[in-house]
Amino acid sequence: MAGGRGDGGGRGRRFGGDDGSDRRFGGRSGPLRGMPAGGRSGGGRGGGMKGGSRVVVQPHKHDGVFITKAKEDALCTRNMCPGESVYGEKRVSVQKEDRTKVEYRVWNPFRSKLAAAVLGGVDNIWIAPGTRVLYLGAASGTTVSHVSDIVGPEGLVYAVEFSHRSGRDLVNMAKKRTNVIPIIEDARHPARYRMLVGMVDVIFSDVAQPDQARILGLNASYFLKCGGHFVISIKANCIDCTQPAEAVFASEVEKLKAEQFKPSEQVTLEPFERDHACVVGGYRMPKKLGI
Amino acid sequence: MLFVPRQVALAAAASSSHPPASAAPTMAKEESKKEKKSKKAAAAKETAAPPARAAVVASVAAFLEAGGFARTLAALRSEADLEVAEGAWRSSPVNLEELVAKFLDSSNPTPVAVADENNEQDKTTGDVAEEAGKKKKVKKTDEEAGESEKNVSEPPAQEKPSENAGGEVKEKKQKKNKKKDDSSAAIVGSDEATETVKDDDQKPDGKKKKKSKKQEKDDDVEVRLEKVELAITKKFEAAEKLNGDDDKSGQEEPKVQDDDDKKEKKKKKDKSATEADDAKGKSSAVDTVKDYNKKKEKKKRKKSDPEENVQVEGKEVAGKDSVPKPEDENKSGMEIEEGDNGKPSNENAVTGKKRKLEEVKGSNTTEEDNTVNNQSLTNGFAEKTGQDNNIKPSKRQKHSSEPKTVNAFQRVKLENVKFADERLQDNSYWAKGGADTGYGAKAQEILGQVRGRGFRHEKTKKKRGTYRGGQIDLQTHSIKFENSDDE
Repeated sequence: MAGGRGDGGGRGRRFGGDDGSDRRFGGRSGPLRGMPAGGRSGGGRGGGMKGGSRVVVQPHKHDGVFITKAKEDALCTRNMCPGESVYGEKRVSVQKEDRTKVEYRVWNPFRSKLAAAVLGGVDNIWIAPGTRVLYLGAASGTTVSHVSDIVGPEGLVYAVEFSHRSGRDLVNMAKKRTNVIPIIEDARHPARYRMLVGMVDVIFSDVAQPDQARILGLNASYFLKCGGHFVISIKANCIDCTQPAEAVFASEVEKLKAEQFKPSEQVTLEPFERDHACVVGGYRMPKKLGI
Repeated sequence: MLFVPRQVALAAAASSSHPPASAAPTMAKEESKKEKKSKKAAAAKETAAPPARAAVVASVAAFLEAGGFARTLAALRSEADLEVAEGAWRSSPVNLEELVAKFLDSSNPTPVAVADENNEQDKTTGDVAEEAGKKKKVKKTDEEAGESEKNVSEPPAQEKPSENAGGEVKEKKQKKNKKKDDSSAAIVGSDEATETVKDDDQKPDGKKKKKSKKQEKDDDVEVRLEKVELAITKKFEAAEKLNGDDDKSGQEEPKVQDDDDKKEKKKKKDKSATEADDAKGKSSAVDTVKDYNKKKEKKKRKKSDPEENVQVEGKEVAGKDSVPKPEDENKSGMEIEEGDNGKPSNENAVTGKKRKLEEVKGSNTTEEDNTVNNQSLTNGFAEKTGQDNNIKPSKRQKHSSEPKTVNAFQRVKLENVKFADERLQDNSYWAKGGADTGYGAKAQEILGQVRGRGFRHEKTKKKRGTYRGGQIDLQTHSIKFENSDDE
């Protein structure tokens, strides 16, 4: 199986790959994660995005996030429950040196604002393996599933969604992911789910409400540890569609500061979203450390 | 069968709301437009004399096939009993599209001062109507072009919107008056030719109406025509015969007769169209609208010298001749008319330019009625351009009337906004670092050019997971806030 690749050595074996032309990614470049196997179809060469072709998975600078390098790069996370696709996204299977298979799920930035922020070049999303995350505005759980992948089995994701309809999908997704706790409740009233949520390290907010800064502050006051961090996606049109988006973002940043948040960076979500920005910062940061 | 473009429907609704009388006719016209093709085919079947009719049907069939209207073509073939082998009508010498194109070319309007000819218009209107009927008979394509022209001519009709609103009765009265006037116009003589040209333009409406068959209006038209005949000279009489008496087409002067023969089919169509209008119940309104249009046209023609009008006719004829139609008679008749007029083709070109100008003016000045009428009147090809021109101004007007946001609610006060970083003043993708080679560059090229629904559409396509953005860099492109100050 690994025949074609001279120096690939013991690093990786790929199944179903075509042997002839591996020099493209040549093992010598040192793919950290080993060589890929072409997905589930085994030999599906030439077909879809990853199928059958050599895929190299590299870790992103953010822990738990990876980049699959084939013909084109794609953001992905390590699938917590291999074999399951949450919303029809593509999966990439890679075999490591010890012949154990690892499956990654492609993370579509057009569906996830967090992925858009990552691709937009945010410095730190603070969501890493083992962290506990309170996710406000979970919707159907597409992004939540990737956050679940990132935090891994050691972490925990509290996913709050008010809509029963999308909450249904969220619950179904959570059934297969033990580290996701779905909460169908209004994020404006954290007291209603305070008994379900413990102290968290990071709050991700994607509620797209005019008072989202207040909502975030309220939840942070309940659940976010001092020195914790927040990641908030701001949709300018939901706050004031009569003003330029940039002014709205600046206004929201000021509101966050008033809520004891300390914004550290802002990145546009263009082109994946229109008139969106993602703001990352800390909460009740110790003065010494700054952010 | 009746798919109404949303714009047309909206425009019709808007127009209907304003002038009650005009609305109904416009609706009818629109319907007629929709059914134009089928109607045309049907009309051709109904009215056309055996040889000419066959040619018309063949040409229509060829057009339908070329246009990809498979169903309509099938229906046409079944209804028209296209016994001839498919190849026969495919090889039809008459090409509708070419005809229309040539007609449009020849009828390109040059700006003509449209004003002060109301009196003349009234006189000529009857004649015009008659002539129009003849011309309509001559060529379907002409009808389409005529519709467009009608639209153009309609703007002047706007002057009389109140009349339209007043009701069909008034219009009818006016028509009668016009007929009488026509008799006087006959005296004028030279004006007749111009009128006929205008009539051609007007004719398309009649054709449209032909679709639905109701004879009530037809009767009225006939009565009017008869009156006109009495008053008008022989030439006018011939025109009248063409319009009013389909059967009588051959009676009058040889020139007219030729035209009549050619037009007989068309006349039949016109009658059927008028009948159809009656059936729709809009017929009276439509007629009135037509009358107005005719009046307007006449006015325009009057403004432009009668000679010019004649020339225009000649051009049209030439265009028709150039078109490979089987109807030699029509061509000859047209030529004869030209010879009678004895006016150079150059004049025709001038008139065409004038018409264009008039059309433009009309669209700009469009009263609601006019726009609606134009839209409804215009068929097929002419419709698109005419409607666009007509509709847009009205929409703009509507928008302008929208309530102004005097005290808009704003959560963000622009004067209170302070940007911590200059870069924060631009949220666009290209302002971000590493944008040129970034993963989102390709998406930005596509999504940056669309807004609103288009953006959602494009983004939905991206969501399918087929997006390829190139290399993902691990650089930090975010904008940092300076935190040190506060705490």
